[in-house]
Amino acid sequence: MPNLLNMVKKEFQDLISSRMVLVILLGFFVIILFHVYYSYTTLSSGMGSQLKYGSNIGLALANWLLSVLATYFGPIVGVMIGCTSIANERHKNTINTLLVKPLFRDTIINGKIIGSLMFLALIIGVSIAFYTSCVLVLCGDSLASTFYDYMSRLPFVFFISLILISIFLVGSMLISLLIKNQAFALIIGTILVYISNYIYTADFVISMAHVFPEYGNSIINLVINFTPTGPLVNIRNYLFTESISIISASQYIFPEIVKFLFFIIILCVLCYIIFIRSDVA
Amino acid sequence: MTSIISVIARNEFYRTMFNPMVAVVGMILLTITCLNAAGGIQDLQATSAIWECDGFIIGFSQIWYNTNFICGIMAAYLGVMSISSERGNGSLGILLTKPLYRRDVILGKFIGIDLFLFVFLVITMLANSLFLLNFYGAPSSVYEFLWRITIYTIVLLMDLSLVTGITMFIGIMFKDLLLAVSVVVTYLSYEWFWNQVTAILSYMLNFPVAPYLLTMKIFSMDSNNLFNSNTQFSAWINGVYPYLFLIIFLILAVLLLDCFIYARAEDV
Repeated sequence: MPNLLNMVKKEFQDLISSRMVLVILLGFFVIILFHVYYSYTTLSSGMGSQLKYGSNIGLALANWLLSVLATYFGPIVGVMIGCTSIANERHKNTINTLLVKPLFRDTIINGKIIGSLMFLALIIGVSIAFYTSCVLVLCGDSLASTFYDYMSRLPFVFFISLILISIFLVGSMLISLLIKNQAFALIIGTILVYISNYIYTADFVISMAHVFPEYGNSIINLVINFTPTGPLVNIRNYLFTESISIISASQYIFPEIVKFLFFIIILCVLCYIIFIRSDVA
Repeated sequence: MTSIISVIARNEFYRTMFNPMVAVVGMILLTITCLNAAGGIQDLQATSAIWECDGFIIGFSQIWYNTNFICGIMAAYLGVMSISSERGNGSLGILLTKPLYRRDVILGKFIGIDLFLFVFLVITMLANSLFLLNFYGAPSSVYEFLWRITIYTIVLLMDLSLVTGITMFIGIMFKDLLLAVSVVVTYLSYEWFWNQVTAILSYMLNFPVAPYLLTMKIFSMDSNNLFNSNTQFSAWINGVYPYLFLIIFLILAVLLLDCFIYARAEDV
């Protein structure tokens, strides 16, 4: 246990001091600022209805926050953290030093996964705080009447973003373990984020349904249920609909969260197998 | 000087050809083009009936975003690695001990990557044409198809050249390979981000300085769409020539900046 805690602490410190992660975080915060500014200009020009769920500004802004965190840039941050976690060790050859210490290999990989997830939780927490502060400063007047709706969704936004980005984080750790060229692994991770979004597009689903007409519905169900984007769309529909209470919404979204957890468990198991069984140094 | 640049360009061309990234992107594009042709026939027929134009040419518009983005990732990776990986394994240091200017190295690498991207795009267009020919049928007019597909390829190449130039700049500026690639991934995320939120995309199209935004302006000039066979060449070029000049200007500016910065860098 002390070994695991030491590994977690080391991983966390490595990630905090990594310039690679700082670069992507800077980009992330610029995107958040861009979103808030766009919301502000939309609301101040009286075009609030352009925002989805426009009748409830609090829900609209919380929905935007989840979309920024979990759909567009968040997965890229996850890929970057996952790759950095392995790449730093390989790049500086410190992974060899770690492997000759009297540590079980599973302690190393456990420490890396837990440390990375803790760092990710910190990033998401800071991003939510940053977004909320900006929203309050710029759109405080418009948000006042629906502030409770906004705040009540924040824990869900945090938890869902954490789970969804973790899929990409653990997936990119797996890719980094499999591919020795870390720059290539990072780009492949980025391509996988693109593919996970692409297979949810109408183009892909309709084309697949036409190519395999007898399995049309099965393909659509498979895509909706077994890609990260599909369950996220369901979650957003339940969580940010004004007529559905937060308790009812949490009951609806629970199965979707379980699906995400399954993704993470499968990827973690694959990481264990690769790290413990193969020559990663 | 020309022969030195051509030697470096040829070397870069062959080096790029065997990069594993090319195989990955090639496989993805092949899958997308095949799916588009095999699965999108009914949509193509419906769209061509609504627009009253050639469905074969519309078949190319359906995959332009994916082609642009996936090839953009490849161009960005090749651009940054052309400098960073050679710096990392020390071969750039050896190259610079030879009697050549630093600007020749940059120009040679840029031309080599661009030539490769041109060949790659031509193969992608041929593959897409073959799939469409097989699943949809022949184009209504071969002449119409040829000029549009030629322009499409050239504009895509200009877009990818700009991406390559920008990422070579990143490779020059950041000495650490992994840091340079992370900056490139951040840059790519922005290119992708513009397309994800329709409202933000329409807002950003007022300031089309990023390669993707510029290409989008050039391809989709409202009624004068390149992929609409009813659009005349003169009408299309009248609508987009400022953007064509802008993208050429940006490519030259970025290339000059690359040469300028690299010539004044103290280390390799």
